[in-house]
Amino acid sequence: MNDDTQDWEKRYYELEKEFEEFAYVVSHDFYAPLRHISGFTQILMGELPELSEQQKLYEEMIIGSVKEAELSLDAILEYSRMNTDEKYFIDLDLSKIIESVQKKLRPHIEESDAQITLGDMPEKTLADEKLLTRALYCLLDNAITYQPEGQTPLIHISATQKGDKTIICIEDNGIGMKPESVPKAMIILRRLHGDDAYKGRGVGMSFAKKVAEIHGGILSYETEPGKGTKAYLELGKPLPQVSEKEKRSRLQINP
Amino acid sequence: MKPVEILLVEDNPADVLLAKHAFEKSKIINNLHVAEDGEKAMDFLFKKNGNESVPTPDLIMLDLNLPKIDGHTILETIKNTEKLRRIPIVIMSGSHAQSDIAKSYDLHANCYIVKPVNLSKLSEVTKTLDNFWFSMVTLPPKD
Repeated sequence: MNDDTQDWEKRYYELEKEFEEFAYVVSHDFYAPLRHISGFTQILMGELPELSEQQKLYEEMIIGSVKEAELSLDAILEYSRMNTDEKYFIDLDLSKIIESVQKKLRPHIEESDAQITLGDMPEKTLADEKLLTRALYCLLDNAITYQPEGQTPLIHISATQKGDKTIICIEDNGIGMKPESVPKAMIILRRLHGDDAYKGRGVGMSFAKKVAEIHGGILSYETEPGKGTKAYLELGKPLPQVSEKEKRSRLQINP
Repeated sequence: MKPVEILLVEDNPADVLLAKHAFEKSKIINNLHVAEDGEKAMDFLFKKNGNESVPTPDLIMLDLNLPKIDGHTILETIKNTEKLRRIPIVIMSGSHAQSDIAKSYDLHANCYIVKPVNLSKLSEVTKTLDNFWFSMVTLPPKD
């Protein structure tokens, strides 16, 4: 390995470490004030003799806002953990993964009456089970959620393999997106729709994109407003895993 | 019935107040002792520096991020001390980090709870702790 590569590698692990520490600080220091705001509000409200409708509304607003912030923090943490958590890349049966995702989404599927069909599936897909499950959950959830009101979601999932690449396609008949909005929608917590229009958190696409990248692939879309969406989750050769010990030695930190 | 002695090691005054509130609502008669940093926790447990007459706790609720001596060090010290290592230790931390969780169990924490954001969830935690540690579980004998 030449010096340049080593320098870059060192910088990469330094940044990764920084990001990990950042996520730690976020989790420890931002959850605490939220806990206190919601806790003491509830205690205060419980101690007041009788609340007017207006006061009850204010309480709901505070608790609702805290919940929002908590969910956003959860999302940032989960996103950062995707990088740092240990991964296990093994040959998986994609149809079984999809089956488990459908089980998890059952209430949403039943409520929307979504019709999900499966196409060809490869026998084996090299991936981390937890991450792939999460990505497919997000993409399928989006396909069910972003639909014109009253329409039955029709979703088709298929997968093909080319060399060491697996490309999973999730096609829906939903509202679609402007192709130029796709990059924005892939940023964590960025939402294309107003708060009330769709009840998404703005995390699904960013999670799926991250999962694709960890697997050495990309997430891409074919979509037009009103013409449905095709999401392509491409899995390639997983990025090499580096153990904690190795990272430390590359950063020249003593254990 | 003798009240149960709980030691809460927590530096954040707001978290202490919330825990007190939750334990006041609990069915089990308890004495909640609070140590605001790692050093005070050690003094309490080793009955030093004015703590000569304090009781040995039946349960310790331990935060990780603490001034002076951090939670993992306290945990390690307790579990390496014959007189104290039987006391169940519940880690109550704001951290979701896998490394914190793994390290706590490696050091023989009895369980790890991420501090809940919602008050009703916190009450549920104290109720469950009460039920589990003081009704269901047979605690080790005290010397």
